[in-house]
Amino acid sequence: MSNDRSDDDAEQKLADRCLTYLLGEMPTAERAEFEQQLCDPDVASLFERESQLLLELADAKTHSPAPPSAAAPPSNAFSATRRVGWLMALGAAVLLLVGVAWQANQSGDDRGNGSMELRIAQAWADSPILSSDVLGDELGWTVEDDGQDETDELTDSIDWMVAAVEVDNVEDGRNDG
Amino acid sequence: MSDSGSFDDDGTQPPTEGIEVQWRELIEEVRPGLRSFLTAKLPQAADVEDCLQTVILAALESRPQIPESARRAWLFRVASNEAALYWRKKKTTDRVLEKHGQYHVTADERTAANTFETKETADRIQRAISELSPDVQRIVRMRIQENLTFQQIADQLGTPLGTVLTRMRRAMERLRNQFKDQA
Repeated sequence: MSNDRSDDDAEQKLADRCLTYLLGEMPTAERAEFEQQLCDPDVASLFERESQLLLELADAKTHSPAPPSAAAPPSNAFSATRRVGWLMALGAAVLLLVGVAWQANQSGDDRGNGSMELRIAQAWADSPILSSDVLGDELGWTVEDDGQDETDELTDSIDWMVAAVEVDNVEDGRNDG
Repeated sequence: MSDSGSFDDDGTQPPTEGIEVQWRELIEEVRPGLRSFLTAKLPQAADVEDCLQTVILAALESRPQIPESARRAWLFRVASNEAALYWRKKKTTDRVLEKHGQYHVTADERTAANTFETKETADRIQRAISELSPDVQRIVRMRIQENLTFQQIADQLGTPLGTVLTRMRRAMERLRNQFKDQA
């Protein structure tokens, strides 16, 4: 048992010397003596292994001198927080898209209905023939006191119809000319 | 190639030649060590010299971009590969002589055989490094990848030199054991 340990210690010491030599830190006097030892196949074998290890280390990714917080391995709490954050952002994005789509749909309907009403209202405002007097004259109707309500109601409904026809005429006129 | 180690150093070389000078100086420094190392692996002095020249030529032609701290290790790794190639060629030659067949070990075959092993080793080392504490990882990185001296590391970290040396030694011991166990 103790022999194994002393063998291990001797091997570690020899490996340390190999590393010192490979790193160019061995004093010149000691170096010549060590180089003589390399003729021994066992020493050469251990030296070869140490060379390989050093090359691998030179090529490996080691920890960069980052701040201590970054140096710590990522914890589960951090990962969970980040995951929740991503989910929340995703949810918000979906809600936003749905909202925008719904609003666009609504405004499209409103625009369709509203434009017709607006055009009719403009026709009402612009066209002088839509006054009740002229309308009555043209249609050969006389507004009497008797049946006033009924006439007004009829006139109103006709007015809207005439206005709609007027709008169409205006549109046709624009298209034609 | 016998004089490949000698060079004129007038101190006015452009950067690329400066790198070559660095490699030449390094080769001169480790040439006795390389020779001893190859002596342990090859039977004849002439084979040792042949391999040594091949290693020197490879270093001067490729001048790989690796950290200064790992250049000696690279030279010895190339020497080890060349020694292995010598034995493989010899084995092949013997087999050819025995069977009168024709077979050549190509460089591609050699590379393909080593690639998988190299990647596995690199993965193992990477895992072993990640198990070290961040402070120790930092010391290993500063020494091996950034080529700082231990004194410079101690100064930069504000840590006693002895502590830095101890941490480095323990880290290497740990990495070494894992490397050895799985090799």
